Amino acid sequence: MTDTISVREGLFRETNDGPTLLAGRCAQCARTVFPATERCLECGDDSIESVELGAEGELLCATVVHMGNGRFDAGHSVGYVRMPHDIRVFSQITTSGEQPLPSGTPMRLEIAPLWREGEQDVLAYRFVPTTTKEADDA
Amino acid sequence: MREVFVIGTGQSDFGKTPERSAAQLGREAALEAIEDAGIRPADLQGVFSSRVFDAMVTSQSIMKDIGVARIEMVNVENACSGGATAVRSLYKDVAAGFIDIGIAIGVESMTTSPVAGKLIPPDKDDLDGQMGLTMPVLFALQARRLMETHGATPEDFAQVSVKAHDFGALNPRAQYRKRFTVEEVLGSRMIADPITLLQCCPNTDGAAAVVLASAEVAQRYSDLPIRIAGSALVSGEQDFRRPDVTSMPAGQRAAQLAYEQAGVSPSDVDVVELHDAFASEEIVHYEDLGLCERGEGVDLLRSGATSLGGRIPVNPSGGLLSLGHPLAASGVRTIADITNQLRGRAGDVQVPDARVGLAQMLGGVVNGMDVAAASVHVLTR
Repeated sequence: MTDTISVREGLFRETNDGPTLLAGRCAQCARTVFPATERCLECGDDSIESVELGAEGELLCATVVHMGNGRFDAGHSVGYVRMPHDIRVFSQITTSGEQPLPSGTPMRLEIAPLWREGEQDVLAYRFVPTTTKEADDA
Repeated sequence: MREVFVIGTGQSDFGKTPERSAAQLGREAALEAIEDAGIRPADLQGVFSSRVFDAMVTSQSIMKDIGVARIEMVNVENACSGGATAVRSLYKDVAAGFIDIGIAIGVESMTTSPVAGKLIPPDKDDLDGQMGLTMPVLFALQARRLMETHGATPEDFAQVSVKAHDFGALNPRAQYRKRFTVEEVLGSRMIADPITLLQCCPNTDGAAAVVLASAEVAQRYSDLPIRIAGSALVSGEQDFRRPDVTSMPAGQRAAQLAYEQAGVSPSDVDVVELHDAFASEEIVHYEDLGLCERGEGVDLLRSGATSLGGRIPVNPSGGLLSLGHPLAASGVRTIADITNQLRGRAGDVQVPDARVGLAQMLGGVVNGMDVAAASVHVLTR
């Protein structure tokens, strides 16, 4: 049996409505950041509430990386995804395209094992385009 | 606060020299700077050195075989801004009157470091790094955004590299002294779209050094001391305050502080040396340094203004792209190169009658920040 660990606790969770990223919102000044911090980066208050960002985002920009780094093979895609609360998330992008996806592509969150450490799968997040042909075929 | 002057510069050849230790490289640069300043090693009252990899007591390792001991020596690390941080630290000591003369050294032996031939690995706490945000990726995403918002093209980015290599071919200290065409740059191996191999700086061994002195000491030793008119070092901005990935707010703030201290405006600057680890970022720095209006970086490049003979030549040394990037050395090397420009001894890449120069260096990536550190020095003749 393969153990599974999270890349970091408190980043995401599965809900009845699907996966969601978890940000931290300051109860004092409402600054919301991802990943959540123990203290507000804006005002220093420690009253941080967990906020679900949901699973839907929009691609800000992406690139196809043609060199492997020991964790992700050559040819993988990454990008920044815009999420609610004006949050920009760096993420792996699941696409079989050889060209970077265009800015503005609607994206959906996916929680999946992304690499292995020893005998363990590491669970993390990635985004999948929802309007490309490959998404339509899925 | 006292005025501070550069009175000596030194640099080793930049390249892949695994047979030479970091201390040897540092010693070569330090001795050249000491000789250039016309002082004796024993005249030095303070030493600041910077090195990123395998760093421990770098100053003492370099200086002991030059016969310098007993005085205060400090070793600093600030990623690629480390060298600039060493210069600024020494600047503050001289400006405050703690010492009258000292040396700042940046040194790196990348080929013998733990990252030789590899990407710099992310810290365990660096979530984005764990998720694949390497240096080439960071700048590739910025470049993609420049294409969306600025109308930049891959040819523009390649042109930055062509310009750097044109100058580097004239610099006897450069790692690569070879010219390339736009087609050759674009045709080199794709690293992270749109960044190709010839748009990435090479990992390099090398060292640079500068001797700084108070006005009184500078006048005693130097016919043409170069004043550090503005010196700024700031840390990065938390990413949620950064609305646009086509700017490095830390670089912009460092420039504003240095300009303000120097009492000059960007239009007064005659020559610039800046961090061009990846070709596309040079366009971002044009804007952050105020060399043009926001959004006009691509036009500035296309106009030829940043080439030799243009209004504001950028990286006439050849930059990191052709000179190579021995991490902690680059921040000292840029200040040394600007000093040499203002002294009129930059050889084939001399900017005619340069009187005001700017040396900028960025350093390090920390998860959730635009950059870890940014430094700008404004120098005047």
